[in-house]
Amino acid sequence: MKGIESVREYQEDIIESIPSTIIVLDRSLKILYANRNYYAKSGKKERDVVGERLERVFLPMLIEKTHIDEKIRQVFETGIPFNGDQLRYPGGLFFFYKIHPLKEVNMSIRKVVLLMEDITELTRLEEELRDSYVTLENAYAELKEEDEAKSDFISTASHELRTPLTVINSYLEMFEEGMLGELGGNQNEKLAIIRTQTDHMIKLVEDMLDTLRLESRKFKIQKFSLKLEDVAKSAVDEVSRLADLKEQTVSLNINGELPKLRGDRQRIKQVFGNLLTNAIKYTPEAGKINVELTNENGHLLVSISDNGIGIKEEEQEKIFEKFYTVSGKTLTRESERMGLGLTIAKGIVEAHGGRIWVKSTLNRGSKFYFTLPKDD
Amino acid sequence: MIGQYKNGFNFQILSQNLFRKLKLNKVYPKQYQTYSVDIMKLLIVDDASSVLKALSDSLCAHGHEVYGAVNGEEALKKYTELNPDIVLMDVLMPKLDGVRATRSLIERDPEAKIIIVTALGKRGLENECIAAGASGFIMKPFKIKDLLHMINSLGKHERN
Repeated sequence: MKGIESVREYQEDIIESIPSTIIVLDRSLKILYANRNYYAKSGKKERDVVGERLERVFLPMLIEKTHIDEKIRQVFETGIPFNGDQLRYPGGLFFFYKIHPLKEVNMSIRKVVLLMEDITELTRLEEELRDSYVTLENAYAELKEEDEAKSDFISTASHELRTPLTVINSYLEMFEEGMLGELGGNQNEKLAIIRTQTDHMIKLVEDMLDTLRLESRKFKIQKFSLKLEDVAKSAVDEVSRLADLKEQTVSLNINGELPKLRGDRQRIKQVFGNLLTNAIKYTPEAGKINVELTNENGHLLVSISDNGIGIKEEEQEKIFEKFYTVSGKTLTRESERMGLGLTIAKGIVEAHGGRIWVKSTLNRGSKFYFTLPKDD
Repeated sequence: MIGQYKNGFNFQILSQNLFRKLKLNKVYPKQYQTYSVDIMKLLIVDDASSVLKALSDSLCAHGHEVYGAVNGEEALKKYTELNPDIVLMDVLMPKLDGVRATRSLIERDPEAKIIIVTALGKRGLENECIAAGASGFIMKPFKIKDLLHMINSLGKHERN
């Protein structure tokens, strides 16, 4: 408290210029002093305030509501400061007030100081913040409810679709295996179309469920030590028939010796499958698709490039969002998908601790990359 | 068709008719030899009559002796009556669901071989079924060779 000596002669100026209200009262609750800020805030004149009792100066309603008079008496009696409460003035003004005892040399208390801070703006901001929070919370609850309803719907729909698909698939297999008699003419060709469409439908149902699982973080991967080149080869083999139909070539380049990776064979194959099917779908006839596997520092890198229609720059981020399909290309009904393939691929790669991204030039082609962890 | 299941109509008869009608031995000897090592007595439990019919047709055509039940309760009754080698059990069914029916079957016959055949993609369901005593779990729709492989690897029910 040494420094206070140096400003003692300015204390009047300091008190008068402080942007808070300071009122000093005696035991009979008579106002002995009020600073300039009080007069500015209340619009009262000094002659109507000094020497008057608190209840004549403050609004009776205010005293009744806050019991400020009782609190002041308590401070006189106990000598313990009252550390604050909110006070609401008519007209929407808010104050925060404290009562502090002013102790005499003999420790008796003859005066208290009432300190009042205008917190109207702060309170308004706080209320606004609280309102925004409530609005946000309601919106979140609404969204969550909608999302749950949507998830329930997808879950029920996929369950309901699986039953007829089981029946269709069973009889289809019996036809294919010749168990229901030999087929002639162009029946085999038509049967192959039914098979393609049924498989497509089964894939859609599985994609719907996978998306749900990814969203609810119920996605399970079982990690084993795998050879990336084996998974890639088998994925490329599986799409070769599809590529043949468009007279496209799918090549696989393995750059040097690759270490093993740690991951879920089926799921990683699904990533290859989804990226390769997209490449085939968005690349014109006789196009070239190339799969490249590289051992990089810290991880294995896969790239799948095509010389297809490419993706606009502004769409390159969005394509990983669910139900998003690349615009500007009229797709045949047959090649149309729900736009879940890349969302699922991203989910699988990320569940392995990897990353997936794309580089693309419109009308030139796209190159998808993803990384997978090595088996330590 | 479902009425015939309830009246105890079994697919062995249908299967034999089918074999005679289609001269199946000539048509698909390869698949028959590949998948069906033993002829099994199978009990399919599913509340969807279309699934019962399709699976029965397919498994009969692969040479198995197939019976049907439309819920867990009926499955328990038929199991005691028929002593099947393997039960193919759906999960979502009225009266008694597949998980509870599995539990009851295992209580009665700890050696019972039950494969859960479900369309329900619920998390933890497979573990729940295995804990209830099921020996296998397969999601609908499936490749029949996968189911046949499962059936063959479980083998016949050896009773003491």
